[in-house]
Amino acid sequence: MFGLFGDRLQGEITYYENLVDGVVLPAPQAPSKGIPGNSVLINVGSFVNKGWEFGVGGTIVRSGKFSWQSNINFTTSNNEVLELAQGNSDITGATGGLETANIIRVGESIGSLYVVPTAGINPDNGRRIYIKRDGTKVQYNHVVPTGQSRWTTLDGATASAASVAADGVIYGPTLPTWFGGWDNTFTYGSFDLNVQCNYAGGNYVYNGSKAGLRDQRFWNNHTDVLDRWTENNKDGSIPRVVFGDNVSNGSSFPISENVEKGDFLRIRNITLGYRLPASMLDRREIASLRVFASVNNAFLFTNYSGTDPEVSTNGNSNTAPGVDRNTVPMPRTYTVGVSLGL
Amino acid sequence: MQLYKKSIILLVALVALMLPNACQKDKLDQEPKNLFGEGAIFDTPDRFLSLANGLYDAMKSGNFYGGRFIVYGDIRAEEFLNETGNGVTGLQTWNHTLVESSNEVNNLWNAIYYCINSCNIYIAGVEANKAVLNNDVLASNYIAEARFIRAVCYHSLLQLYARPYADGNGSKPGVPLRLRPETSAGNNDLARSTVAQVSDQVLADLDFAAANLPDKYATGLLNVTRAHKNSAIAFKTRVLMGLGRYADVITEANKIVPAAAPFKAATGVAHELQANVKNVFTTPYTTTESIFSMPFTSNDLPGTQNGLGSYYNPGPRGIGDFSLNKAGIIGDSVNFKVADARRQFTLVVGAKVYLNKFPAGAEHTDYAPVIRYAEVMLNTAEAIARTAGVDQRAIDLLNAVHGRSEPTKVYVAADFADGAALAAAILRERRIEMLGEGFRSFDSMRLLVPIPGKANVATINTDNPDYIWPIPTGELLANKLCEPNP
Repeated sequence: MFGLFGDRLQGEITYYENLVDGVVLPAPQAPSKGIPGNSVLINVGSFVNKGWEFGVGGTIVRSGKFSWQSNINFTTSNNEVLELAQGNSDITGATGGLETANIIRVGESIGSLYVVPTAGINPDNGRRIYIKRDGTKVQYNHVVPTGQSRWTTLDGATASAASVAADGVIYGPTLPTWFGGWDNTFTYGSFDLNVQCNYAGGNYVYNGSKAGLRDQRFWNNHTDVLDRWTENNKDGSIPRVVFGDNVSNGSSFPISENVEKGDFLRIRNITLGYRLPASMLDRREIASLRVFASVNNAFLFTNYSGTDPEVSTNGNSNTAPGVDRNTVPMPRTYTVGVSLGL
Repeated sequence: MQLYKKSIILLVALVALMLPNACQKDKLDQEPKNLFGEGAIFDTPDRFLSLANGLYDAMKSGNFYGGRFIVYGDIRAEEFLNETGNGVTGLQTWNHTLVESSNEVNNLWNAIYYCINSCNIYIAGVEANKAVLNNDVLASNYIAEARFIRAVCYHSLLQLYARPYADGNGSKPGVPLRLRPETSAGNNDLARSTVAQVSDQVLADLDFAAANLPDKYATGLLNVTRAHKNSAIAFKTRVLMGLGRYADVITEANKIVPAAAPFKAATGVAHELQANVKNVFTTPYTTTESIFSMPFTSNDLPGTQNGLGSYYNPGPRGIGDFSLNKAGIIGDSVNFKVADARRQFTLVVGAKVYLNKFPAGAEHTDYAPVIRYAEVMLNTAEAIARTAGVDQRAIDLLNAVHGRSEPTKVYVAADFADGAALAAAILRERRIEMLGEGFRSFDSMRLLVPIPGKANVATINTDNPDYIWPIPTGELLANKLCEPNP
């Protein structure tokens, strides 16, 4: 802890290292064993969270009727899995029993995204390009004549299908590596204004909602499907549209096209209040009266293209965090109130 | 002094009262009758029966014989068109775009192996706890039931996840053969046995079952919903057809199909064709033509989007995921005449035709058929045609099945140039008779012919990787010795 400017600002710097041992996680079992849920809860190992915390705050300005107090804190967090059971074999996390986009692997952050890498669209034919584990690029066509393969190399030779098991790559942590908050209170006479922000980042989110909005089964699409590849639009950002195609968009198995950074700054709360002066109150009945208005989730600044980078379709699952699959974002709420003291 | 004396007397009295009644533990420590731990499951004979029912219930899983497995067998071939484009109700199975992570691939595998493990645990448990039953015959019955169910499970796995036996005489990879109970972590790695090895196990289980199952049960319902001797024999004919062992099919079938009409099983449950085929698919679904079916009631439904009625009935009785392909067998008005009684299983709605074999309302309480006598008769006829050529018994069997629904056409030996022509006619009769019961694609695969296409879905040739299903992702990730399908 420290003090600045004659203790008008106070702060602290902390280093933390939190070792969690004997973690109980569902250890996946081979489905051919026929165990219900295909997992057994066992103490699968340990992981560690470590990082630095910085905090500083105090009264920044105080002159006459105006004062400004502020507090800011910033934390770094590095999560690493140290040990898993069964010879440190990976544990994958499925989303809603459908796609599997997360993995728990020793040496990585818990629940990291595990997807098949893609490299855009082939301008010659509008097919999505996937990169297999050995580096070869393959492309996918949803409808082919009898006897031909849907998966081909870029020069047309038959290739094996891409899949998460064969070609998955870890694309980043789903837990933020830095986060913090900034709280400000301004008072002017009887008015008070409180602005509270928080921010986090360094994590990645799998935007499954985006995958769904480019799904070519009988589903609605996002308007950016208008920029699909056609003979006249060879630079399109969406693959050639084929009815029934749920592979090119990342629904059948997750692809790196849908992995996005989850950095954000959110103005979480703005509250403006006015305390009626004592002279206006009838002291015998009312001791104090304050009216206020506040907005919760006022503004969100982020590059994440989905609704909200803080959503998690699997709730607080510890095996499949950071996945957004048609999840409802945080709402904005307006509150007006009166605080009465008797 | 007075108070002291009183306290002593009170204390002594209390102790005296407590001693004889001291803790009647058996009245305090009761074991809940429907909540007990793993160690107690074989403690009373009742529980043996409950567990056996549980095995049938596992087989009745919506993902398996409760509905979906039967649907998969048909929609892969040409008789049905997809109407709803829903990935959760078989679209990718229908148009052969399955990948290792697809729902059907994983869910069916999970459901079947859950059933297999339950059977393994039960078999081991009955063996170890025979003394509780105090009835060796009953113990053998129970083990035989579990082995029958396990045989059905492994046979079903081979149908979809492995190459047909005809491809390389069973030398291609099959599925992992789990025969021991699995109740804890570890022991995940197990390589795939070959198709021949798994088939041998299936036949060994069915042989044991045929020898040790009861001849029949007390009620018609039990005869249809629990395995008995003839169930095992009948299923063996199906397995042996899949292996191409036609002489053995005839040997087995002779136990329940007589040499000449009237075709009725002479021993065990007296299976025979119903005069009206519709009776087989109408409440109470317990005719002697049904050999083994999965029952459903209002309190025990197949589950959301699992029931056969959900897939094949148009709204409001079902979702109508699949309609009949007019270019399929229903379009063959020469062999499937308009007056054929089986035409009542089709329903015209506007421009589309739907299957009406599972019509029971929106709850889908139709029993799911696993095996019935008509199939055994057609198996026998086809096996005879493929070994003895144009044989009168085969023609009689064909006429019995065909004539039951359409009496005007009576086949004679002169209609067929050779055994192959007779077999082709029998296969065509199978398409008509067993429509919607999950046979079409498996009949193509056991003969190693391409799976016919429909609408905008191409025919699948035998060398196409999509001819069989991929091994599920879950298995490949956890079982290091399990090799994927190409």
